[in-house]
Amino acid sequence: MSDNDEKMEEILETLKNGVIEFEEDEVIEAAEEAVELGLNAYKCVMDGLAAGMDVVGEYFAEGEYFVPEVLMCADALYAGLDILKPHIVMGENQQIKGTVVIGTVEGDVHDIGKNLVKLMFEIAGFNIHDLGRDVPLDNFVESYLEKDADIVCLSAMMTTTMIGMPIVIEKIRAKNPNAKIMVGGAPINPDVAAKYGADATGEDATNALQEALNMIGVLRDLSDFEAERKAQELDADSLMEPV
Amino acid sequence: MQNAVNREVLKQQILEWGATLVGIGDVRQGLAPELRHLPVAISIAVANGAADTVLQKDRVMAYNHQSCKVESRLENIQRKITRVLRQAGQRFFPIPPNSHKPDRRFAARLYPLFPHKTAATCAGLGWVGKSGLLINKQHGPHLTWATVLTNAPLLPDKPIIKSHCSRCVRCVDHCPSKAIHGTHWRRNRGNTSFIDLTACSEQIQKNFQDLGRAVCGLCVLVCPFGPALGNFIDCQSPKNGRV
Repeated sequence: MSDNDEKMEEILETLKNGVIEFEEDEVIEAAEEAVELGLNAYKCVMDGLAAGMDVVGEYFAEGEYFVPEVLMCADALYAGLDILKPHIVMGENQQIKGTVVIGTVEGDVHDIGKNLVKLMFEIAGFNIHDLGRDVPLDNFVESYLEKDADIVCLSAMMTTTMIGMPIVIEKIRAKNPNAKIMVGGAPINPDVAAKYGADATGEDATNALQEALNMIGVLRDLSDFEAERKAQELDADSLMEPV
Repeated sequence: MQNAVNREVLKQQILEWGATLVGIGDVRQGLAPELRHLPVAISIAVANGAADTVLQKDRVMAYNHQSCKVESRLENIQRKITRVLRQAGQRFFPIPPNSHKPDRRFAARLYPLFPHKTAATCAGLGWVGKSGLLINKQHGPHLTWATVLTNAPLLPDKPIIKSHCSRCVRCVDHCPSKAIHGTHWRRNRGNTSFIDLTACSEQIQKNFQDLGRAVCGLCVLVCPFGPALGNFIDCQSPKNGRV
């Protein structure tokens, strides 16, 4: 193992534990050191920060951590991300993976879960258009078209506001039947997601925060999505060829 | 858990770190579900100091009682407290002095769930005055507060459960916007309204135009508790405060 490899391991460990233990100062220090040494920033984010948040998700599911701890962990993660993100070199494995439109549906002002999901997408290298909370339903459709988004994420905390989701989904599907739509929030489970015609949601969970945390796993493993994208691009190429 | 937190040692340390007051409150009653695992509040205050901040122009007067220095001093103390709690293997959630300032951190979303006034009254450091300000017997309203919630098993101080303002209405009389209702505070009385927030903030905006600073603070200045600054206004005002 070279010196740099050893240093990398050490920094990844510090970043990971810094997130788990919500030691913001340590995360900042390690992230700055990584930048100084010119280490792979993408690896630091994925195998350091995000790996730590993965463990936080487990702790939360087990009842070891509660909401305040999770939020402090997310803040520690953000502190590191702020430093590392500008140093991520876009290349073979770390290109922009797609564009996401995300927001909490009309009538709903709860957005902690939505913001955590957004954070995870940011880590995974997506372009994010955050519409915020209490978003008029038509705005999702407009932004989807305007940004030429790959994924639309709808969040709702309440059963009274989740009913806006199928309306948005139907409108987006009318424009593009193959649009990728994810839904999440406290009242959402896979059955509801399927009924609404969404493509994905987090695993069955007791609340939105857990769902957001579960998404980390989903987002850290995006190979399927990318493969599909490449296949689509190939299709498009082959269509062009006969000319 | 490495070593238990000693209540008296911790309190002494907090004073040495620069706090004017420190108390420990049992706050489990009525605690928001998100914070229920942190039933102990460490309430700390730093005196705002100097009375040389009375602003006056023509007939408009205001008392500038805000200080960034005091806030950062409190935040430093909070950091040191969390370090002690962390080393003892205890959970904690610090709520900074100004919990309303725009803050993009995740943790900031929980600040509104727990007022410093709850911590301070439960810790026996003060009561809620007619002005809605937290009043300490010795320092009056001339304090800035911060809270660290924790699960450390610290013996609480004796709470203050009702106002010591008795018949004093100086703040009511001197309020330029007549925003203070004059309500007598008692614990467990639910959500009582003390001041007309709209009238108060309109006055502050008016002062900004007249004095160039968005402050009012006359209710702080005239309070008979704390350093004797009230005379300043009494000798200028045609109507003496009725104490």
